[in-house]
Amino acid sequence: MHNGGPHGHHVDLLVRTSAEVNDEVLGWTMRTSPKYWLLVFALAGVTVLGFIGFIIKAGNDGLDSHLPWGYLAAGLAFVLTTSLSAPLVAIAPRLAKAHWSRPISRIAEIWSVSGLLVLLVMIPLLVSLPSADDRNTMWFYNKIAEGWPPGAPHLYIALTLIFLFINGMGLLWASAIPDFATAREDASGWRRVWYARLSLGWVGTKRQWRALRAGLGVLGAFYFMFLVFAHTVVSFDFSQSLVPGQRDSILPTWQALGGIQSALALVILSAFVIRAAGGFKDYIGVNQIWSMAKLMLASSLLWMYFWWSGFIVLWYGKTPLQQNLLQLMWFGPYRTIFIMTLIMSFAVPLLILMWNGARKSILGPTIVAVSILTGAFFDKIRIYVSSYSIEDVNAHTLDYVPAGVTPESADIMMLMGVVSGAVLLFALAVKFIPVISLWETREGMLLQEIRPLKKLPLKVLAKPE
Amino acid sequence: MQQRPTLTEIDINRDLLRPTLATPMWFYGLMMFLFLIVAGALGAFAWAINHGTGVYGLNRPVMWGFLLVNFVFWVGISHAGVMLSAILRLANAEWRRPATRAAEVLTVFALGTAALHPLFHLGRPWRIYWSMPPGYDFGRGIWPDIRSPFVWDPTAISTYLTSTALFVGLLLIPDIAVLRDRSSGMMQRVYSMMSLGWRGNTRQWKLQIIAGFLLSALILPVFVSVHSIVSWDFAVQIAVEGWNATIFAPYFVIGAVHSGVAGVITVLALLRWLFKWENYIRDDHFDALARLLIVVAVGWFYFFVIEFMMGFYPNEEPELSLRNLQLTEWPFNAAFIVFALTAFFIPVPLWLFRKVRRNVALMFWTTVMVNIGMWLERFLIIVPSLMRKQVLTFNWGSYNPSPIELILVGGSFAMVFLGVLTFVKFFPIIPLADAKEGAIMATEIRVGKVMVPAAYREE
Repeated sequence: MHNGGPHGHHVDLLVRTSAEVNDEVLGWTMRTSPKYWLLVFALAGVTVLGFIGFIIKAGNDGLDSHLPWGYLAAGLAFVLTTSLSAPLVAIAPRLAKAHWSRPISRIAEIWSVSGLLVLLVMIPLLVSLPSADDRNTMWFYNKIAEGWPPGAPHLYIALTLIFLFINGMGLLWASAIPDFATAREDASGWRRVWYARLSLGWVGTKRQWRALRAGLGVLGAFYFMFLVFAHTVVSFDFSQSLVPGQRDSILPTWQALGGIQSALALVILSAFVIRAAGGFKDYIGVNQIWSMAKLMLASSLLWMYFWWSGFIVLWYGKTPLQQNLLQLMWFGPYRTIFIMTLIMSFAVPLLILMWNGARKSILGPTIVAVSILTGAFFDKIRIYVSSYSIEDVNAHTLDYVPAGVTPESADIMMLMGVVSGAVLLFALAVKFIPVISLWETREGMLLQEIRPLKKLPLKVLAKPE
Repeated sequence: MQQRPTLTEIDINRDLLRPTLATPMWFYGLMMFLFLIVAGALGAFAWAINHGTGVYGLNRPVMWGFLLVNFVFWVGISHAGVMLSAILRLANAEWRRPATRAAEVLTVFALGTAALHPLFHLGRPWRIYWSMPPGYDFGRGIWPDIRSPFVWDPTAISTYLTSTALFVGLLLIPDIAVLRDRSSGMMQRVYSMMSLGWRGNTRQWKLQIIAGFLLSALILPVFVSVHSIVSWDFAVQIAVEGWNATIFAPYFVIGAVHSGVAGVITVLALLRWLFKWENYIRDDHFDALARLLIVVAVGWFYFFVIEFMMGFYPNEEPELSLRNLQLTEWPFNAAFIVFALTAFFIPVPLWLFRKVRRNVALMFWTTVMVNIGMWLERFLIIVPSLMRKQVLTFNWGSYNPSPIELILVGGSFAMVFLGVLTFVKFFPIIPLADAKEGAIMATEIRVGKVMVPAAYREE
């Protein structure tokens, strides 16, 4: 809420009692409306459509070759870079003891449920991925000893994504334990049973709180490392290693950075929706969106910088291989998609968020978030579809630029299904897990005050050790 | 416990202006010692001018040696200034206050020193004229190749140096006004001129704060561009194994931040010991800086692993033989081990412990260690790559630095510290205005029976 002060100065601070916070958040979590079920059924329908698209595609083309599956790989990479990266928006501010992120941290963490979808999509992609024999992979298969490391690259991709999912679910569960305990007291029926089970006997002793904080720190740090590693593995194994001669060391780091940018965009967009749908305008205010918008602007500038850093080296080298790579990735068949990405992921964020008025609003960053997510979607299509279009992955160098691959109707159905599936899992989860972290919000209320300094009301932020 | 000594404006003025207004004798002794080393280095440079670049250990094909390694190193150190000052100012981080000016000043002197190295390297320093716009000989149709990073380099470095000096000068104005009111004679006239009529009224503060924020934001792209361009000196050369990597620009920038922030911590520890500023440069500040350094170091290490792994990835003989040289052949193998241990594997695990982060001596030594490692990193990037037989060279080579190069490298360290000490003699190295603002903004919030340290936040 706004607390008025002289000279039109105002500061945001949530004014509620703990009981009011519990009632408002848990009330929304445990209440479902016909509109909600309509949304769930619509999302489920599109997800099923995606599955049908997969069946059609698999029936027509089979899983023997990687060539038909570029769009599905792009879908997996898109979910990885958006939903699975979203928990970072909770992890990093929590480690930095920032207060602004308290009301949106759970929204960010809940997106980790979409890891389930990534695991499903991963299966056909692993089946169709070419063997590591006679080609370069990041696993150096056969380079040190015959048949070593066993199972490369398939086994390690699977392990990376499985561990990422488990880590994400662990983080979500750990952070929600105190809230499950609160919900346990209010709920009835099956909810009460499950909240009681999931709260693990939480009563809020000093020892439990200490363990929770340590656990969140460790799980958060590991999630961050797993996520960066997952971006590295996916960008290598589903893209770079399929393009003969490509040696683009910036690609994995650029993809990881794109993950941070898209994660912020996704959390802003979902916070906007939750804010409107749940009536949480006092919880998710300008302060939260503004704080994320600043980071989104910074990550958009860095996104461009990383692209430019990679581009200039390839452009300057001008070897036949580098020229073919430039054509394949940026200036050939996927030029339009690339230009769209540049506009959506860089130009729009810069031109809108450079203005403090737009940055410090609800609508401005939300519009930019939609633009960034669209840009990320195009970017994944450009990177993965172009890599999957290379037929001879065992060649020594890229001596030709294959034609662009336009999506078939089955590809479009699969892409829609993947996106819709991720949103469906999120939509189901928010009606079970309190979408606003109760304990973090209540703690934040204790550590923030508005006090006058020389007659001017200012926010006071406490930072405990 | 977080330490919060109560400091009045009088305390702050007295303590922080002590080195300027009541300079102790040992200070002059230290400056003289550093000056002698710098004079020795200038003598070595004069020798090199007189005898030609043959006095360096450079040879075909290793045409870039210690001087260029040192150039990259000092450009890297200079990244601390903006990283700490501009980014933390924009982020409104309370703990930045005592560290910002030291970081900015380190930037100015490190960058100035770095800029001397191409002159040392040239052997005939006056020839630098031809790489500057006044030296372009358009009249005879001789155009500079603007596509060359060697043209971008002087542009980026001179822009960064100018903007950082402007940044330091602008933020110094209120403190110079305090000095003006406490000095006499010629120094008062100089301070009076430099303080630009500062009276501390509302309008002046408003302008100063806005200008500080604007410069912080504008200087950021320059900060990133400088080390990126330095990296492209290497990365755009397709003929040298190990250099033609797309990751080089951000890898160099994050390495520079790692090195630079470590350098600032080293300087802060020295300042705290030399001037007994325990109440200003507190354990909390080392703790916060060390946390920042952990994040930067882990990020840098990720970039390093990707870059190094890429050497093996294509499985091509020239690149593999370079990695073989770096990892297995003397003295590069020893340098590599020392680099890996000092830049990452020893300091970072140590910083995970709160006791280490709040121990000034340990922070001093671990950050010195980081910069030993980061110097070796640059050495391992530049020299072994040039030693291999390349497409455009005709022989394998080796490189042994000459005594002249060693003296110049040693002299550069003395030069930077002499510069910082000279600044301390004339200006407050901890911003008075920031320290006073920090004292006003500090408060506490009661949570149950506990008082938790807090700060007012303007939004």
